[in-house]
Amino acid sequence: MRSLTPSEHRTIRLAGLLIAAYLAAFVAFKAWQWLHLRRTAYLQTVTAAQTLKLALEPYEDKVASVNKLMTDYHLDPALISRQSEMAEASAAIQKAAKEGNLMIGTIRESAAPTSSKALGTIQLDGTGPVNTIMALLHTLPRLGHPLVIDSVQLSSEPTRPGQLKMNLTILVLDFELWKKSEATHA
Amino acid sequence: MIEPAFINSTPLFLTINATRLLATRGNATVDIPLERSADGRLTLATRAKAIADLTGLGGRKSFLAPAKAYCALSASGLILRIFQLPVTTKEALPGVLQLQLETELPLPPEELAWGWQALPLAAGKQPVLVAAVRKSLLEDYIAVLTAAGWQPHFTPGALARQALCPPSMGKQALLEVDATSSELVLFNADGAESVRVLNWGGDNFDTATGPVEKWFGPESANRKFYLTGPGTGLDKLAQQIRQRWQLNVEPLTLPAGESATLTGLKKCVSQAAGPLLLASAAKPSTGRWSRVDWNRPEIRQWLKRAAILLVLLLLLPYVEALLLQPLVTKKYTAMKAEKERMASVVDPELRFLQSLKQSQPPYLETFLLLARSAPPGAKLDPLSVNQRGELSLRAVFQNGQQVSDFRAQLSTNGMFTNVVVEEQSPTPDHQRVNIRLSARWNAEALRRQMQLSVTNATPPAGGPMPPFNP
Repeated sequence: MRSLTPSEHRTIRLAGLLIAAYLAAFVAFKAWQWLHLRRTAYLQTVTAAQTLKLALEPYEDKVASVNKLMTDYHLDPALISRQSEMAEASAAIQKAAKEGNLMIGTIRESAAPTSSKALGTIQLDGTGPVNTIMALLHTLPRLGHPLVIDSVQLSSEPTRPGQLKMNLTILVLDFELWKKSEATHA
Repeated sequence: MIEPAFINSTPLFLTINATRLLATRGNATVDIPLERSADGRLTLATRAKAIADLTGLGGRKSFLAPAKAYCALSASGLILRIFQLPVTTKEALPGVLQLQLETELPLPPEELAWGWQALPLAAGKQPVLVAAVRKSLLEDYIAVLTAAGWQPHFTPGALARQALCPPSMGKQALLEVDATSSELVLFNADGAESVRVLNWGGDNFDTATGPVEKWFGPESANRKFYLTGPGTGLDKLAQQIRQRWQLNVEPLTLPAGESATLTGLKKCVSQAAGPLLLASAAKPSTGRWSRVDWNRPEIRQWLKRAAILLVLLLLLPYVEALLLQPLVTKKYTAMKAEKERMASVVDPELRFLQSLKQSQPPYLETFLLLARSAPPGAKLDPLSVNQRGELSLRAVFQNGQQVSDFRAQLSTNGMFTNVVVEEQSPTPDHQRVNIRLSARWNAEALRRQMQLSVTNATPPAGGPMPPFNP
C-alpha cells in the first residue's frame, strides 16, 4: 500500500478536525436544546404552581366563613342525609316548640315540587304567648337543619286570652339538589 | 505628549541585574535583593517587597499619569548589533530596520523589546545600532514598576555607563567589574560597537587567563580602557590588568556608594539625545487595566476562579431546572388536588350556607316594627306574612287619624313599600274603624338602611306591645 504524501496527511488531518468540530458543535447544540426544553418546562410548571397558589389563597377566607356560618346555624351540610332529613327536621321543630311551652296543633308534611330546591315543607299549627312564638321564630333557623320559614300567620285565640294562634309553613332545603343545581348553572 | 513642568516630576533611576535591583530618586535609594523561582521569574514575596519599596519612592496615584522610571539592564541577554542599511529618508528608516530585524535576529521583532540609534553615514551606508532583549525578560520588571505607579523605560546599562567616559576620537572600552562577572562595552567616537559579558570579576580575577583577544577583542592594544565597579580595589585591579595584558587601563573613580550605571544613566537622560530606549510591551497608560500583568500566577488563579463562576452562573438555571423539576411537579400536583377538593367541598357548602342565611325572612323585625307603629288601643288580628314579603292584616283602630298615622309610619320607616289600606269601614257602633291592609317588604338593600335592632329594650313611649292581645 502506498504511503500518504504530506499533503494528503494534512488534508486528512484537516478533514478530521473539521468533522470533530462539527460533531462537537452538533452535540453541544443538541445538549443546549435539551437543557433549554427542560428549563422551559420547569418555568411553565413554576408559573402554573404560582397561579394555583394565588387561586388557593382565597380559600383560607372561605373556610373561615364556612366555619362561622356552620357555627351560627349549628349546621354541617356534609352531614345532611336526604333520607332522614325531613323526619329529623320535624322532630327538632316539635322539640323546640315543646321546650318553649308552645301547644302544638296539627303538623302536615308534604314533598316539595321537583322544580324547587327543597326536600319538602312542614306546616305547623300551634298556640302560645307572643314571646314563645317569637322565640320559636328566632330558634327555628338554628336548629341544625336547613330550614326556611316560608310563611307565618298569627291570629288571636278567643278562648285563651293573652295567647295567639300560629300557623307556620317551613321549607326544608335539599343540599344535594341545591349542589347539583349549582353545578348545572356553573 | 510633553507634560507640564509641575506634573513632570523627578524620574526614578534603576539598575537591574539577576540578583539585585538598585533604585534611586533624588536623595532616596533602595537596594532590593531579587529572589527568583526555578523558571527565572521573580518570587511573589520579592514582587511584593519591590512594589512596596518602589511605591515608597513616590509612585504616582492611579488618577495621575505615572512618572518615568529609567531602568538600566545588565548585558546578560542583551543583543547589540550594528546594521548597515541603505541610505533612506528618516521616515522610512524604521520600516527598513524592521525588515532587517526580521531577517537578522533569531527572534521575531514582536517578541523583542528593542531600540535603535542611527550612527553617522559611512561608505554610502546608514549604520544603525540596535539593542534588543526578549520581552519575557522584562515582564516581571514591567509588572512591578507599573504596580508601583511608574512608567518604565528600559535601556542597556552598558550604554548608559558609556556616558561616564570622556569624549575621544579614538577607540575606547569600559569594563564594569562586579564580584564574579564583568561587562565590557567597546565603542568608538560614533557609538557602541559591541557588548560582552565576562565570567570573571574582582574576586576571581585569577581565572581570567588566556590571550588578550579572547577577552577584549582584536584591537585591544589600540583602545583606551576605563574601569568602573563597586568597592575600593579598582586601582589594584587596573594594575593587575595592565600587568597581565599590557592594556591602557584607567579606573574611573566615583564617590563612595555611587553606582557607575546609575550615574551614567542620569547623565544620559540629562543629555539632549537621551538614552537608547528599548520599546517594550508596556505602553504608557494611565488606565488601571493596562497595568495588569495577565501572566502573573495570582492573576491567572483569579481568572480561573472568575471563569468557573461565570460557567456556574450560566449553568445554574439549567441545573436548577433539572434538580427541582420533580420537586416542583410533586408540589404542583398536591396543590392541584387541594384546589379540586376545595372547589368540590368548600365552594358548594359556602354558597349553600350563604344562600340559607340570605333566605331567612325578617319576620321578627316585621313584627317588632308593627308593634312599635301601632297606636294605643289598636288591635291587629289576623296577621300573615310570607317569605316573598307579602304582608296582610286586619286591624281595628279608634279613629281614622290613627289609621293614617299607622300607615304613614309603615310607609316611612323603610321596611315596607306599597302600603295599601284595601278596605276601611267603621264598626256598627261607629266608635271604631276596621281596616284591611296589605304591604310588601322593601328590597333587602333598602331594608338594611333601617338598622332596626331586635332587642329586649323597652319600646318607645306610645308604642304598645304586643298589639295582638285583644
